Amino acid sequence: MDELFTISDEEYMRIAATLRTLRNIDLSYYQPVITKHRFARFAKAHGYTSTSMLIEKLQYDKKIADMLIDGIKVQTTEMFRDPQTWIELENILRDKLNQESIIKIWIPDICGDDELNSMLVALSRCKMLHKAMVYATSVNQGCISNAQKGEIDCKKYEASDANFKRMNAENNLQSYVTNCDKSYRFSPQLLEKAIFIKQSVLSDPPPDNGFNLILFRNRTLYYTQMAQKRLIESLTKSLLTGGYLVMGVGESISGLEQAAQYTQVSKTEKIFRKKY
Amino acid sequence: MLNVVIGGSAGSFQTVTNILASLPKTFPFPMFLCLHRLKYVRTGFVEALELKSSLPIHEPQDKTPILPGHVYLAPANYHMYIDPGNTISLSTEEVVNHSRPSIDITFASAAQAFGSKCVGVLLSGANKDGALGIKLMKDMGGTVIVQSPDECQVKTMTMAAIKITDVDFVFQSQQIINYLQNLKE
Repeated sequence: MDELFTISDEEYMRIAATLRTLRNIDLSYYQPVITKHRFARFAKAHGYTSTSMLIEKLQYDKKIADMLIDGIKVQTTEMFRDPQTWIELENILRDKLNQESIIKIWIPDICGDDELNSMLVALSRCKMLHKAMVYATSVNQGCISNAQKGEIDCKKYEASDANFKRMNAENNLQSYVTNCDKSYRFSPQLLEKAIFIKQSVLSDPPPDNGFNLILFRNRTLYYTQMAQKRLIESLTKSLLTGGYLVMGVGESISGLEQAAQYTQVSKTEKIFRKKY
Repeated sequence: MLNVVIGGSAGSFQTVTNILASLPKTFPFPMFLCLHRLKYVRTGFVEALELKSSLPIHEPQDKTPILPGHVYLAPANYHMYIDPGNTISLSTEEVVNHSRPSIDITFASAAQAFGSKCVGVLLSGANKDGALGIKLMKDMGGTVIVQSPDECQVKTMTMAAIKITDVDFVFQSQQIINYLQNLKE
């Protein structure tokens, strides 16, 4: 049995300085305790035995730096994670947002396609796809390309299907995927409805304005409190009054200034409505 | 300030309940519980533990500040990190040792955040999660206790830890309780 690969604070600072010098990457927005773990995981997967070895590789191989940066992004876990959130979200789509002639939805900072695919299925089930504009954005072109492919591995499909069944869905997820040998492919017809844009949620303007719904679940976890404030401020500005912000069940906006602008509309789920 | 971090899996629930029931309201240290649990079941665990505990138990939100005398239970389907800035961070990263929450992640982050100010306790469990974390805790100067495998309903976890770490104590659950009751700065 081996040892855990860990990165000390001092070593993390050295990696951050290296990335800043060589690639103009600013790590100050990322939550250090998790980012350190991401780097350690990366180093171990590549067979590096020390942080010095990782830094050396970063200095001499541009590709390693790119891969390390890509590795900071945490993939979403599965479609319809926390099924109760989706049950309530579908109710909001049917009962509240269905009155709109056009529904603008934004899924910022996508990494993996689970949230996007889930939203497209939910819109299809609510028969609202035809009037939805679904923006999926990421600063990372790799994340966008992966989402566009719509490939779902078997393990993730099983977990997603189990979630879907927990929503008491009348059909199974099979209706929205094609079985391809060792994986599944999400419906290209549904994916066509998504508008993919390369965009940094931290520093670029939003892809549009006047959103009815922003799905931003389990993304703030990976940012510092300072960055979280900036993110929620930016999302709040782009959300219509009466619009919905959906976050992960482990996330909170209670310590932020913007919290006063929202009402939590669910007892158990982190679904917030921007006040009129 | 000392910090107590407890990890467990199959067969650990009763021991954790007994530990919590035995600690006084005035227990002065924060306690972190990382227990393997079903990812779909979000409610009921805190309530079950609270039945006999005089300490407040929370499932923390991301960036929850850490307070002395409070117990923090890793939420279902999230990893729980201890941040050196005295807050808790959650993550939805890949499963570790087939687990989310993973005991190794909580233990390792606690070891790095608290160093010698950390007391780690590993209880009954059916896989090796926690073994590497408790080793790191020991390497960083913390005190590490493993429940006696003879007493564990499932001994895989504790045996794995004992195999790779020169643990400070191998205790029966009552000895763990006595140790924690007498814990002083």
